Amino acid sequence: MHRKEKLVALCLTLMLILAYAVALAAPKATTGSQGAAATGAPVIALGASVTDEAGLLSEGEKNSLTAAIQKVEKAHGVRIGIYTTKVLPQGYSPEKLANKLVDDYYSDAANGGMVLILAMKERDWHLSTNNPMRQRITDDAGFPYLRDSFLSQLSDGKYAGAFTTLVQKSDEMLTYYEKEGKPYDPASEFNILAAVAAVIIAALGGFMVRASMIASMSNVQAATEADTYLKRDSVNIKRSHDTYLFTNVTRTAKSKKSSDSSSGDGGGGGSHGGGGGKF
Amino acid sequence: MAATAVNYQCPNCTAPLSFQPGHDKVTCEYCGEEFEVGAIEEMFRQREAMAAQAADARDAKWDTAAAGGDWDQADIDALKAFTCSSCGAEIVSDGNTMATECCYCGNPTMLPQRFEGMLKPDFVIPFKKTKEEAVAALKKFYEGRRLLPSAFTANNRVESIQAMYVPFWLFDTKTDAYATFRAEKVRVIETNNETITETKVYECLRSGSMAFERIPVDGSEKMDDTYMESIEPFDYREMVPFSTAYLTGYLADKYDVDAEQSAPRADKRVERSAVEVLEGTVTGYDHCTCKESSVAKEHGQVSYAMVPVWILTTKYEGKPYTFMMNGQTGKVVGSLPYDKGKAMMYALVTAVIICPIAYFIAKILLT
Repeated sequence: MHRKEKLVALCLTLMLILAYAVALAAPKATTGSQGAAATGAPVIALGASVTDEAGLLSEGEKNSLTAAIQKVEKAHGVRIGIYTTKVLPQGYSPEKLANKLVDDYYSDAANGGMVLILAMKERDWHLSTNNPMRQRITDDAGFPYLRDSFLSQLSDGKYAGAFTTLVQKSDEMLTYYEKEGKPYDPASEFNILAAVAAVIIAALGGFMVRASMIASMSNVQAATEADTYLKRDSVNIKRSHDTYLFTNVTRTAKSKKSSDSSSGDGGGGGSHGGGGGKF
Repeated sequence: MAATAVNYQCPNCTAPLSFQPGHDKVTCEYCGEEFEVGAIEEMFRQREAMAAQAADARDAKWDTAAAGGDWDQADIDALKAFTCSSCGAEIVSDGNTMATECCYCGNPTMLPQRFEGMLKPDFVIPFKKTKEEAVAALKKFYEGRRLLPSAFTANNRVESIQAMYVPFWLFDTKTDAYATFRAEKVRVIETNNETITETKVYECLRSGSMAFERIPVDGSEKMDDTYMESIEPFDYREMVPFSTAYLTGYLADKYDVDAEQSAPRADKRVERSAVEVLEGTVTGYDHCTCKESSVAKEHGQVSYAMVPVWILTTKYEGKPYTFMMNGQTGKVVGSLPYDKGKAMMYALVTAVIICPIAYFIAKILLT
């Protein structure tokens, strides 16, 4: 072979190898988690704000939600991702998957990131926060407040509403952190219902103390029995008969609580916050 | 009182029950509860026996004629009676003891009259507590009463406390009691999904006899029965046959409620205690309630006794407040006035202390 021909053959071989490599890589990059569902973690294209593989959102809802997330991300320097799937990838728990996604795709912002995943077949949800985000939305106080704000909508199948609420509440909590310099704790808020209950309890307590003190001003009490005058040795029980009648059985169903894990070491190896459960 | 006839009723809801021929269980048409025929038959057989006994039982009359005796002329000559012109109370003392004021209403005008005795007491419990002890006990009774008006203690005539023998009827009785109880054994089983509460219901029949000795009921209309019951009990071991010598230096009240009129109070107490004695034998159950009961006296005897009481009646803002001390045991009873302003202040202070704590707890529970 001539030298020129060898060069052409080498170039063709390299092109074939390159084409093969591109062919191998292309489905992984474009079809996302569909292919990976059976083999491993999904790949969310460039850390999209909303990845709705379960098809829960209309195009309009998706666009609106994406815009809202991006607005919050820009305002607070954070990353927020929402990912829905029909089934969890093999070998992944909801927590492990959420932790991996937040580590891989949503940790590039200065003030932290969070990912909410929904697995429709298992009815699992999990919200994972990385460490900078955990400083702003704490596991003990902030996360339960955030969870309670959207979980009922999630259970009712109002997915767009639940995601929007999540974004709105996150925005509020992040704004609070920036203004106050400390994470939002619902316990620090004035609760009108608790105040009304406290006033009623306090009034009852005051009334009871008053009634008890007034009652203590007298020790005059009528005698209703004559036990003191019973001759103990005179008691003679003549008949003692017990008859079984029937059995009543009452069954009370126990309420099922969703299990929360508010901390832990995620599948990605980093330390994560948040939690999850069934919806 | 127990029923003297038995109707077949559902033990669960009391609706009428009827046996269906050929069935081994009886089902209540109203509540749907099922019963073993044997259990129902046994239960009503026992009830029928009890009803028959209740119908046969004759509630004996108290032997009130035996209470008290006749005064002899020497006693009559030695005694003096005083009548309060304000409240009409009649009190008695020996000829040397003067009542300076009415111990019931505090009126200072007492009119001496010729003593007209009724029954002579059978027994007397002598005074053991002195006036000094009575005054000290009364002062101690005031201590620590945060709502007591300052003016009350300032103007209180503690030193005016008077010693008086109060007439009491003492009732002895032997009784037969029958009672039916509904008892329950409760078992709670926890499973992963539910809590199962299993309640086994039993009917427990008890009958027995017992005796009560010297149940006291005061024989003075002026004397508040509740006060008299509050200073119980007396130690009857120190009770001695009556002698006017024990009245020396003391006032005494003449009975104006006879034994017949006083008996219902004793009967009521006997009935309750008799059922409680029977209930005490229903053991091994988690709950027990009395469904019906019957108590009949076999024999009832009454005696008449004088018991020692220190008594002071004082007025505050036009309202009388009475204090009594058992002259034998020293037990003090009484009702004190309270300062409405102080009562309100304590209520407010309590509310102010409770409010933030309650708010904190409520907030945690509601968040």
